[in-house]
Amino acid sequence: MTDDTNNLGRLHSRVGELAAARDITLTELAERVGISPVNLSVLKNDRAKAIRYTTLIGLCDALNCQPGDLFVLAPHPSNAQDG
Amino acid sequence: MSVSNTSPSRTERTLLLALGTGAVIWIVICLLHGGHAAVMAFLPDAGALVAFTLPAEDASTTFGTDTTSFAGELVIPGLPLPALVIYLAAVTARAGAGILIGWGVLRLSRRMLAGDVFHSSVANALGFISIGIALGIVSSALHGWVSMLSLELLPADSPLAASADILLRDIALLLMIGTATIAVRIGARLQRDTEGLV
Repeated sequence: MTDDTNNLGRLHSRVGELAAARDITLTELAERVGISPVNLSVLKNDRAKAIRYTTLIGLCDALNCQPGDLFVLAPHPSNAQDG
Repeated sequence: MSVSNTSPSRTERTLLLALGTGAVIWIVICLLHGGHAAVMAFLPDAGALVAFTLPAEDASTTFGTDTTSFAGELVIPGLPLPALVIYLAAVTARAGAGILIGWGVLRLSRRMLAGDVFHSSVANALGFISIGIALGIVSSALHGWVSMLSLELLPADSPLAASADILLRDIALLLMIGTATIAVRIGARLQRDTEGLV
């Protein structure tokens, strides 16, 4: 459970950056994707623990990007120490 | 991320506080009654308080009018040691049941007041209440057994018969609380699974 929680912290969402680059407000993006602004904020601020495929597809459509563009995974702490 | 809980309204808060107060009073009554019954069993010339029924025809003769069977309790002194031990076990189980049910209701009220409907401790509190009810059923069974043993001490032509509380109601209540416990556990798992899901 603790490992899962630590691992979740490694995943950074780039939704905010992508939306800003495309000059789309979070409220507008939430409307386009069909989720609540609160949930979009949760995702943007890396507090989400899971994402629905429908949300992922909606975000990719709205931001004109691929799923891989939406997230960045930081290296595992043990790997980072080794490297 | 934690799911925001709905705070209870003022009326709900008052009701839950009343429930908690009732639980405390219930614990005190159970302890006093259990303690009184246990002490009474050890006093000289005192005995166990046993339940009996008087069949309808005998009850009609005794009370002079047509009546249905009559149920009551009487103190039978000079119980044999095994019956006394069973009686004390029944009294202890009854007091324990009261404490467990009261404690469970208190914990339940506390969690509900905090707005945590699907918290693991809600399921635990329901578990305490279930164990308390089960203990009450055991206590009733033991008490019925003591009643049978005690009434054997009476003259053979005595019309009194041993009686025990109807357990069906308690068992039904136990099943209902068991169902509620399962519902709370499922709710807690669903809440845990959907936390942070966007």
